[in-house]
Amino acid sequence: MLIRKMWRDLMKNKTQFISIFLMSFLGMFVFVGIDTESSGGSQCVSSYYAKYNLSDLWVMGAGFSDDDVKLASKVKGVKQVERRLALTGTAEKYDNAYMYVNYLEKNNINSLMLCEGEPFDPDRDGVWLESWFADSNGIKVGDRFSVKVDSTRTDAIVRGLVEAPDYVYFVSESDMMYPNYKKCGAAFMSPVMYPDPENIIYNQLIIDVYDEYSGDDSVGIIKKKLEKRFDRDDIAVTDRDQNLSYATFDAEMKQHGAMGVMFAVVFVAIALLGIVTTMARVTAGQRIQIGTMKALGFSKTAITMHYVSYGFIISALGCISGAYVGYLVMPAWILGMFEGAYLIPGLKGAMTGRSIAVTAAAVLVSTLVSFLSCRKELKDPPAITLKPPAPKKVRHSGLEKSRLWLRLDFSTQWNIRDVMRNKLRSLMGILGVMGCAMLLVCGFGCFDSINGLIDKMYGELMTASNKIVLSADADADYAYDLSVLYKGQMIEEKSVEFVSDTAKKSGSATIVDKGNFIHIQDSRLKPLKLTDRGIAMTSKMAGLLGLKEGDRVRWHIVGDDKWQYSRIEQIYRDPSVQGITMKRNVFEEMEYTFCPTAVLTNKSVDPVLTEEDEISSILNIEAMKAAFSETMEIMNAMVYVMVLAAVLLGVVVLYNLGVLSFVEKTREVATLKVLGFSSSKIRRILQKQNLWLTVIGIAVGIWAGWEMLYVICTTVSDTLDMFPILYFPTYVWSIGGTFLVSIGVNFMFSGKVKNIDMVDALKGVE
Amino acid sequence: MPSPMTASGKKRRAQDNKDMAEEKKVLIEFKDVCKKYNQGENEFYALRDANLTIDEGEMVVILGPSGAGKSTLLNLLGGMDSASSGHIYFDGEDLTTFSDNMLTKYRAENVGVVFQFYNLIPTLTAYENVALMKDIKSGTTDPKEALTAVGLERHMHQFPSQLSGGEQQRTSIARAIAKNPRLLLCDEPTGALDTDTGKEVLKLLQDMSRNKKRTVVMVTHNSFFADIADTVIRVKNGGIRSIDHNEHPKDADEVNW
Repeated sequence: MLIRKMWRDLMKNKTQFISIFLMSFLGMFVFVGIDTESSGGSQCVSSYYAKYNLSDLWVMGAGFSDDDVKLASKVKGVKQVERRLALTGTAEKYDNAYMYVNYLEKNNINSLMLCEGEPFDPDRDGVWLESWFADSNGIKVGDRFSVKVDSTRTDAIVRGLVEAPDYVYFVSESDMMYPNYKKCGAAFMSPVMYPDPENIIYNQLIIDVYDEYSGDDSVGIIKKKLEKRFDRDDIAVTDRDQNLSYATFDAEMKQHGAMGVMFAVVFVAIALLGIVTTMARVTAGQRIQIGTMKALGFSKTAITMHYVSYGFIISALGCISGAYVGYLVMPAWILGMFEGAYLIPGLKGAMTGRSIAVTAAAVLVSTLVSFLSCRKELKDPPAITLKPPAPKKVRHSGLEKSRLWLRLDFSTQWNIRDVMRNKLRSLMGILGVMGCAMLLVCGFGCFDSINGLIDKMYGELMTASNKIVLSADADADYAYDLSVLYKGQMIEEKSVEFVSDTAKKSGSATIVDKGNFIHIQDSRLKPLKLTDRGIAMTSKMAGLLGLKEGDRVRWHIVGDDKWQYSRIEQIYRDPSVQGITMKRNVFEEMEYTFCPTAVLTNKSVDPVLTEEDEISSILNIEAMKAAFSETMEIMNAMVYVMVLAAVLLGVVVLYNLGVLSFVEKTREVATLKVLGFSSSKIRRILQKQNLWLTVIGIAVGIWAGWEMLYVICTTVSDTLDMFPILYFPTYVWSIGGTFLVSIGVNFMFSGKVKNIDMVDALKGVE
Repeated sequence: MPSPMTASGKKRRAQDNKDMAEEKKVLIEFKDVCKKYNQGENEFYALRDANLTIDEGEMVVILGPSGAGKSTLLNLLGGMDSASSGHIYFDGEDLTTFSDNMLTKYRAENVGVVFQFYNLIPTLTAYENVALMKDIKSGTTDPKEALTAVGLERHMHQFPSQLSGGEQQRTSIARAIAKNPRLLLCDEPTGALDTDTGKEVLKLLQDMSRNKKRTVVMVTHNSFFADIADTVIRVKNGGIRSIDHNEHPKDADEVNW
């Protein structure tokens, strides 16, 4: 019978229980959704890596002989070693797409997963292409594909479309911070396809270690041993964490995990507060019933179990269904967005022990919370519980004793007292508003920060309105003539690899000629002048390499074996391009030839110019801005989730709060009505308190949103150095949006003031 | 089993009284029972040095103005509150030595309570309110039977809010008797009812005592009810003023107020 009673009570208080249900649902939906997504992603990628045998170590150098392979194989723990020649080139036919070109001597490590066509054979002619690139460019098996490396073109039949475990994530030149696999691809060929197969010089060793040596420590030891064995200046040994493809996805998953935790904490905390306040009200409202049950001879345990089961059932329903739906929906949705960003086949979510544990814990805590809130009504003997509760002990707060108090009008006094006496309810209101404002600020802040970043990149740091990108056919003289013609500035942009004692990173080098279109800013975003002494490095890159101003860094231009060992003269901050910048004279002092890759100008450029062989494209600043915004799609999706969650959260919490406080105040409101207060006056009194709580919630929420934005901006990726920015409209939107939700919900309740029947409300309890 | 009052009641009553006199058994005994409350720094005696005995099968009316201590007496009888000093014996056992759990068991096994405001569970139907007793005691009367006994079989599946005050009180009595308690406690059972309905309820209670041999203790401020009781305990200012025995209690129909 008690179970029937419970269901009917739940139905009777359905608004509140539904809101608890929704809050637990949302909390678990977000947490489990993101947790299963990030774990699923990690699991899928690990099994993909395991199946296709991702290399554990990479050794890069000028050239590796057969003896070098033997040398590496002899290191304890090394299972197998393969050689390959990794170059970069362009596929001219496909909008000059940037190509990673690999000649593979064997293919047991980083083995290619066949999507279409015939499997890779290291002795067969033809080319195997990364399948996303091929698909988006409409290349089919059997087509001819030509790639230009330096000045040599290689033309071959496409034998197969493949995915490679070491090409899960890759970007073209360093100024592309977000992958675009239409404009950047990977090609794999047999060494027989090399223009001069007899004299091929392999520049990479890829190393697979035995499973029992695959722990981080053992790999570290093997890495050190390899470095010692080779004892050459021109080599760099890197592990998976230093590998862009591996590390980017890994970081992405970790970041999602962290965000999931943040969301979940907010939602679960609010759900718990909701349970506390609701259960306290339900049990207080059923005081006489509890007394009756006690008088009838129900044991304390039976009554406790009865009321605890309310909290248990609702939170269990909410949490478990939230977890399940989250598991079904979120991974599919977010991992779906990874398509085109990460080339991992068969990504899907995976239920984790942690998700199950957190769900169980949330149910447990909710149950505990309802236990604590109903215990209060159970401690007295039935004779006491059967009577209406003794009025709350009222103590005058310091404020009420002060002179100021007397000057306040009635509605202020009434509201202050009400807030002080219902601290938990007020706290919950503030938290709900805070969560709403926080998510809105953070969500809109992400947009702002992206826009701010774009404005900084194209407008502050690069001030030219057009960028004429030169092709490999253009020589220095051509560039010079162009720069004179357009009053432009010549720059050279190169991909570079940096090696420090602790890390190896790829980035870019920008070499600037005389001119005034490229600017750098120090870490406090104050303008900085490039020195003539040496190189300047971005603070993000320096941080990743563990270096600071005055340290030395080892680096080389990708495709050039000459290594430099330079002192970092300046540290500057750049949002999107991580690497180094130097003046032309510094570059030339290192005995490089300055060979411009682009000319920057403020003059309008005749589009006909692109037809010249020497010019690959003309980039307009607006087009660059637009192209960049497009790349932030995953970020945008996260923002939508946040804004949606914010509004839902705000409505659910405030509605629950509204029900609670309205029900509790019914008698008081009826009394006021009897005394002759008009409905609109009473409504104003009620709204005043709401206004206070909303204002406090918003103030705290803006701060919390800023903190959350900061975390997101600083962890977003290795290549982006985002700074959190909030523009004025964001404040307006966030504050306005929160107010709208808060006032809207409260209007619904204060509208009910009119409908309160004085006589009914003042009749006895029950 | 159902036995509404009939004209033959009088004759049977004489017989009953005779039987009772023969095998009179003390069910409850109060010895110097005090109940005091602390209100801030003031001590306040709700009951002071109460001494009384109640025999099994008796119909007892506790009479007194409001605030006299009658509800306190009833709460102590029902194990719903504990005495500050003194001893309360139920069937020879001292309730004042009972733990909370033992008191709960005592209430579940031996006591049925009828409240002034019925105190039904609003979200359960009449039937379910009575059936609730199965959860706490084994060997309860079938709910349908109990409701039939109070003449409510037709409204069995209605919610309390759909029942009149008298019907609700009858449900409450059905709930109390379904447990087959040895002691039936009633707190102003007619307090919220009109005269006619009140009489029906009184009749029902009297029947419990006379025909079912249950001890019925009723608290009221209505002195007319003194006439129907076997024993009348008058309370004032927290003390027992008098205990009187009626040789010939009236039938419930004969009382008017």
